[in-house]
Amino acid sequence: MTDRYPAVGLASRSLTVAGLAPIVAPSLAHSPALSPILAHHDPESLVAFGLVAGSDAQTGAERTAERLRTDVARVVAVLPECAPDDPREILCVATDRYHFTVALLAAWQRGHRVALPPNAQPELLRAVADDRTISLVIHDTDEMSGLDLRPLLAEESRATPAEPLALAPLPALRKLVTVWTSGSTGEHQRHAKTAGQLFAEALTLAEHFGLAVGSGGGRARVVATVPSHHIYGLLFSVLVPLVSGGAFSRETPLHAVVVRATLLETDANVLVSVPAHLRALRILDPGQLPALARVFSSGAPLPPETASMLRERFDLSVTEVLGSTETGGIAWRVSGPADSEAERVAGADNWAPVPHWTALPHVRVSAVEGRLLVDSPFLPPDGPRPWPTADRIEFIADPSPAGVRRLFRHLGRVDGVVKIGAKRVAIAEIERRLLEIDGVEDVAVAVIEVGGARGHEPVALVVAPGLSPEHLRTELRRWLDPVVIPRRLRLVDALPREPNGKLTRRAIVAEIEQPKPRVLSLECRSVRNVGRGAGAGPDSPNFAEYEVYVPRDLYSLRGHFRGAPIVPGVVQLELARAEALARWPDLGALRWVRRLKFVRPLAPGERLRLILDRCAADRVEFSFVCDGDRVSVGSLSFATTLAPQD
Amino acid sequence: MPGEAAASASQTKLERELKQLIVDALKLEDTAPEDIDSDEPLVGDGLGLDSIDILELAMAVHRRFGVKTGSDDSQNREVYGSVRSLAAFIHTHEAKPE
Repeated sequence: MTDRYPAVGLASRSLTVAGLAPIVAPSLAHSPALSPILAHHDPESLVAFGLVAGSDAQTGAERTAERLRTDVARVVAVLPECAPDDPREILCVATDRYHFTVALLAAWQRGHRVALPPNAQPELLRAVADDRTISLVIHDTDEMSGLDLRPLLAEESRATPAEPLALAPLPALRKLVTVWTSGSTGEHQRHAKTAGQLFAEALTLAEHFGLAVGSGGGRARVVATVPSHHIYGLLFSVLVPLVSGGAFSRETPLHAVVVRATLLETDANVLVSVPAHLRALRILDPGQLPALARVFSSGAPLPPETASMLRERFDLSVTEVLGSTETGGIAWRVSGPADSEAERVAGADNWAPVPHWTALPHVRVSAVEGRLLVDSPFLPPDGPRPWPTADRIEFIADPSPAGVRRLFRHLGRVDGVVKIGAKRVAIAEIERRLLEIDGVEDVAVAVIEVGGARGHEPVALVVAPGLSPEHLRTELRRWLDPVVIPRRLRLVDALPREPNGKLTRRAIVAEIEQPKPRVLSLECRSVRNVGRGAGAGPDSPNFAEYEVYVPRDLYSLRGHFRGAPIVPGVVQLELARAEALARWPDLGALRWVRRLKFVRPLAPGERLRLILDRCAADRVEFSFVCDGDRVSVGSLSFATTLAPQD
Repeated sequence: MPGEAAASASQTKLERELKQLIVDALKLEDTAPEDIDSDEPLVGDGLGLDSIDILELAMAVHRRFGVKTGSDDSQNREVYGSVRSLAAFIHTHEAKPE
């Protein structure tokens, strides 16, 4: 099978996606002149289904292949043709997977390339939309401007007839999408994927996993918990159904109960998800999920306990797919009982909820010094072959009687890119975004292993006088997926650099893992409290001066305004009272406070002076001073035991 | 009315319990239960939880109270909008025998 794939044939200039199926998925081969998109749908076959608000109108959410073709025609009618030398792209931002599909197919039909954003954070989407490489935004939300699909596809506008569009077979070498990923440098890297890459993979996946219509299980009805702007979501929840006679859910459910309801109410038979979402299904009672032909997981390794839970509670096995944006799908494995029979027969020791990886059809894997190399028709046509990945692997002997499979174990990545809850992020990007925040002077981010759904978690040390962790997180949230924002973010006065200026991961983690004491009071050090002269003035015995520092982790800073930490007045007052009493024990208990004035807020990291002036036997005036300016002042009156001295 | 007062007291107690649950289940090291405002948004600009946190919290809520989230994600977004709305949801659903 592997040898059927002639790389030369796929790189041919004249090849269109219509010519792919005979090469990579013969069972899906159709007419050599026809696009593989909708090739296995009859006009009335469903392509999309869903739950529409008001639940009874479920059929209202359904869309047939014919309807999809007419909706694409409507958008094509208002979309300008892309000039052959126009390097710009169209950004599609749609929460409804059907809308996204309409936008995608219309853009492709008009010769455009589509940009897929790395996440759906509003700030990032707006930044992408404003990028000069974006010619137009097609969307279905109130938050974006551009071409809104909703009025265009509304029932009223359907009164104007539109001919169902015959989709053009796209040239295999045409670049269809640009995936903006997190590269190890921290900059977003744009990675274009050609029609040949995308459709060769979609066809291969559909055939290999038995999703094609007529392969025994009926038409695939896909529900995905991952959005379609991720390459994994695009392939598994949009392109695979489109090329194999299947249909997809318009919604992207997240919560376990909603995933269950969507699967049941839409009669779905395929679930496309990620480990963190699958793990959350444990709150459902045993047997509450329907039988599914396939549960796919990608993006991060499925934890063994999640695999076991899904098997025990719902009798589901999970098909995991290993791949990357650059290489496309590489390998797969199945957890649970259904397909691991072979592994179990091969030897009891070898059977595990999570078995080893085996290459997908048409994919050749090899390794140099533990680094995985891949050759497949899903690679960029102009890239190196074999393609060196950033993954470390280890081949293991095939225990099956035939012993011909190339099984391997995945050992992680070789660069500074990590996956957190299936989201890929570069440590360098988190560092860069932190450094861009006003007031941040130095940062260090490391990744530590944690249990649970995340697997890994970034931790950060930040030098940022006057800023709070909440403020930093809020700023990061404008750019980064919330999942990758450091949960443990500690403000420090300096990074734990070695004498040569280097920062080791070990030092960062050690600093983070140090127990964090609860700091209740301001730091205070006496600088002048033994006056020698007499009478008033700085040298008087009735005068004392202190250096005060506001610790960044002062507990009371959290109390007032999240994101804008200030030292509460009562904390300043308490310091003045305590120091006054320590200096002059005869003062006794505080009776009252007068003329209290807080001139400006006091922020973490500030250094200032506290000046105490015992202007009467029972009275101390205090002032906090910063760079000559008074920050706060007040007069404290004590129940002194001594008679007035003068 | 005494009934209302009792209901409000139990809601406050539930909110306190939820804050502790959030801090424990999500290992929020920079946040103490009393720092969480019952009305502040859990997701995004408030407490800053993400979708994985919310799924983890839903699991913890189910473990502790035996209450599952609703079958509509837009309703769930409201329920998991704040400690107060989550407490109200648990209060309503806990009271009903299944």
